[in-house]
Amino acid sequence: MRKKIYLILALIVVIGVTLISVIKIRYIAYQEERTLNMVLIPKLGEGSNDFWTSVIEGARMGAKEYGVNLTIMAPNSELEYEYQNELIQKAIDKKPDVIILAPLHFENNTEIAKKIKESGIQLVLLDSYLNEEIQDCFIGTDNYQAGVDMGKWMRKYVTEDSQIAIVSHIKESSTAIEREKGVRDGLAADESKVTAILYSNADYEVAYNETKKLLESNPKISLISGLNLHSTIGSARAVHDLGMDGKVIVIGFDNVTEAIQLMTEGVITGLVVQKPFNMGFLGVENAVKAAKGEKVNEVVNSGTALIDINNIYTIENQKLLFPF
Amino acid sequence: MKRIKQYFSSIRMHMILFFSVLVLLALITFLIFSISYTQKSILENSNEYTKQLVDYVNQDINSYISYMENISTVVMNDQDVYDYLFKSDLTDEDENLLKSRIRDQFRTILSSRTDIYNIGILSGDERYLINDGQTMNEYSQKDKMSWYLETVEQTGQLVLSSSHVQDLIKDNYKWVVTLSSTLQNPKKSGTDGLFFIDLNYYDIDELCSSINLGKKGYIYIIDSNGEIIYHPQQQLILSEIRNEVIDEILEHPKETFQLDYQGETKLYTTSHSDKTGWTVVGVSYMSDLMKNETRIKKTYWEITALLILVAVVLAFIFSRMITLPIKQLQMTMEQAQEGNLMPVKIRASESEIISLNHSFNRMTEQIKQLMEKNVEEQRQKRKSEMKALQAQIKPHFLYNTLDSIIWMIEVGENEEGVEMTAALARFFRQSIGNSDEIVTIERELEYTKTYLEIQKMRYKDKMDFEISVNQEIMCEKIVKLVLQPLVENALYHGIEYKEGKGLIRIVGGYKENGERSDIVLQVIDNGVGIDYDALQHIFDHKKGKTAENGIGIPNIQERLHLYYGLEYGLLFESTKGEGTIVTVCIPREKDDQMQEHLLEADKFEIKPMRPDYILGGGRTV
Repeated sequence: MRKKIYLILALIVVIGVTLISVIKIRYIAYQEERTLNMVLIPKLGEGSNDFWTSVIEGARMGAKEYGVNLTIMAPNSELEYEYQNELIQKAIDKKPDVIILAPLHFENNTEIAKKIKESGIQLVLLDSYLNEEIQDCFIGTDNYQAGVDMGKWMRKYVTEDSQIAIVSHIKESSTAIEREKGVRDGLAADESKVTAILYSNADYEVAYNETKKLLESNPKISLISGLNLHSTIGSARAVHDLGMDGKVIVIGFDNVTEAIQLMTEGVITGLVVQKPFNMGFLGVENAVKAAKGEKVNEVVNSGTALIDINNIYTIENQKLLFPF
Repeated sequence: MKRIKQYFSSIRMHMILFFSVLVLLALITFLIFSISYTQKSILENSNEYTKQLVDYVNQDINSYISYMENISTVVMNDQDVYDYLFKSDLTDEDENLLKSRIRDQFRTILSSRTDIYNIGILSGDERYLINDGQTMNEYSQKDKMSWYLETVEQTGQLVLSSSHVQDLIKDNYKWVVTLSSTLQNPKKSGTDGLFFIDLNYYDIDELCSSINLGKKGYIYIIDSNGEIIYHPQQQLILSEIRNEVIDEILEHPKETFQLDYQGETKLYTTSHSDKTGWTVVGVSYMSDLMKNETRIKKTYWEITALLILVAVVLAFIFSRMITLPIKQLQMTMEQAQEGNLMPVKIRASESEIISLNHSFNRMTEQIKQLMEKNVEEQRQKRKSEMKALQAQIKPHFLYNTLDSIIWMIEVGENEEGVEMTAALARFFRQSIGNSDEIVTIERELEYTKTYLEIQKMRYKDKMDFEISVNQEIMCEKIVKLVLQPLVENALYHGIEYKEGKGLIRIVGGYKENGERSDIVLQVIDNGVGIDYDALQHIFDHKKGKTAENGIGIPNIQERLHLYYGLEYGLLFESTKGEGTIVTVCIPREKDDQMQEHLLEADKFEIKPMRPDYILGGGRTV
């Protein structure tokens, strides 16, 4: 009699277990099949420039690896922050799990970005900050650290009586401030040798003209630090045109083919290059972590590389300098 | 609880249980086998598929390279090339002619293949020709690049480079794979030249990235030094955000193997080309493959669960079909146990059940016959017993009465003598020719009255009697010889020992007893009464205590019980020294109904023969 009851119990248990496992398998399958939805809103779209194309490519790679359904909505120009706001609104309406945003404007994207969080969507910032810390995670170049690296590098070229000019881009922009601070900290004892600071307003022409003016008025300047692409290229062109290749050392930020050419020609000595592909990839990777409720670092540094004439064509750097 | 226990110990439950367990075992075995088989076949299929893809990629690349090699051979064997590059005494005219001939050749090659980006020859010094005369990048860093260094090192050999950016052409930086060789300078002292042909790297990129190995899987290519030619995550690997298995690939003896890497099991399938020295590696994620497996498993589990459910339901239905006849048979047996011995036809297809049913019916039939026979025998036995008793007693009573008559005549009481003789004659007439067991109350009373009259004459001043019975009950029936023995008993045991005159009264009438109506007759005497002990044993059979005619109290009681059931019969009430009341209680019924009672009474008597005893159900009574 007892045995029979045990048998019946065993039978019930087995049937129960079967049913439970079916439900469990269904649930797991559901969990696994549920793909995360994300929207990436970069500053510029694919094909616009190498930097943002690489960011998007990196993000796509991350999306593939993590099985994320990634939508990209990009403005057409870096001035279209209002259009970017519209894109953010559209993205919110799609109710994704995460929005990965590279805000065009420090202040004017903040209000709508708050709406992202209010809608229960996680926000990952890429490349640039907003004036309020509302993001779950920031991925980008650590501009201060990049500046420090640059400053330290510059010290190699500093001599007893050299004077240093810093060609910044936009006075109030966070990247300009952080990079300049980094460069000064990196220069350390040689910081006092910084005698000029110029602003290019992110314009090749302005950078060119300002540098030319400076070099003509102060021939003692022997080291120029360009804090973004426009500043670097503009001032390098000026140095080249004045025939001061090699006499005035240019160490700059960011990379285009022209910068590499200027480097091979001996005009630019060094470049601090960001890693946009990694930025995009890490953006998605951290967004996935955030969406799954895993711990994410508040700030993720996508890193930089220091490029000079000797390492342009190393395996490591070719892909970085010539992404396409 | 007991019912539940019984339910669980039923044949049906056993069948359900065993059936379910059987199905369960079978299904689980099936499940395990099919799942493991599925797993195996998924792996095998995937391996095969990946291998095919990887081989395909390898062949494709080989054919590219072969083609480039063919072109190289053509160019490198062209005397124009050597003349153009190395002849020192060329006139401008000759130089232009040579240049245009080579350029034409290059153009043909370039127009025939879109996957060739550049084709060019360089001398150690100023002379060069690239594509259709493109300007060389004067700042080219070629002497820092491995493709160039390797080519120079392996003089005269065709060298296939890894993927790299080609910077030989001004303002033109393209990702290429270069096949190059030095061109030997016929002048022993001069520097060698260089021939190169660039294959569009993005053709390889596209080829590899277009190949789909599950959601996450990918293809990558490494050269014989372990350098990455193509990898979708090349930048991440170079930045050390991701890692790739490279040394293991080069060293692993098998073309297909699994590696646990960064918490995931990956399936590596390689295809090595001796021509290029490259190894194409297909990477599939186990989790991708298992996703399919999970889906298949899920389906298997669901089917199994469904089948188990169906099996249990069927088990219930089938077991019911099989056990229903048994259940019917069981119920029939229970009825038989209660006394209802009716043959039953059970619908069943199983031969065992049918034969069981047959046997059972035959058995009940036999029991029924036996019972009927038994009843008849009992009845006959009782009849002959009664007759024997009556026949035995009458002479004794006759002798006493005749003695009294003689004594009366002797003392001259002729009138009384005549009267007594007449009463005696009546008494005998009443008892003769009446073989029925049941008589009307009127008749029973008359008989009793005649007996009392005779006895009164005999005892004269010793007793008196009184009969006051409701006239309505006169036509009711009663078992014969009930009242007379009671009266006789009252006379001999009550009145005879009393000092002075005794009185026997017979009263009778209907008595409403709940819903039914009974007939009650009482024989009341004011004799000495019966003491308590004797009263307790009044219905016990004891020898030597029978009345004159041999019909004792136990006999009367037994007969009443037999005819009317246990609820009817005699009731004795007695007070020592004051008298005794004997109450006879019988139902108010007609003949035929009584007959039914008779049957029931018979059944009662044979009750010990229970069907379950016969069937050997384990219980004996």
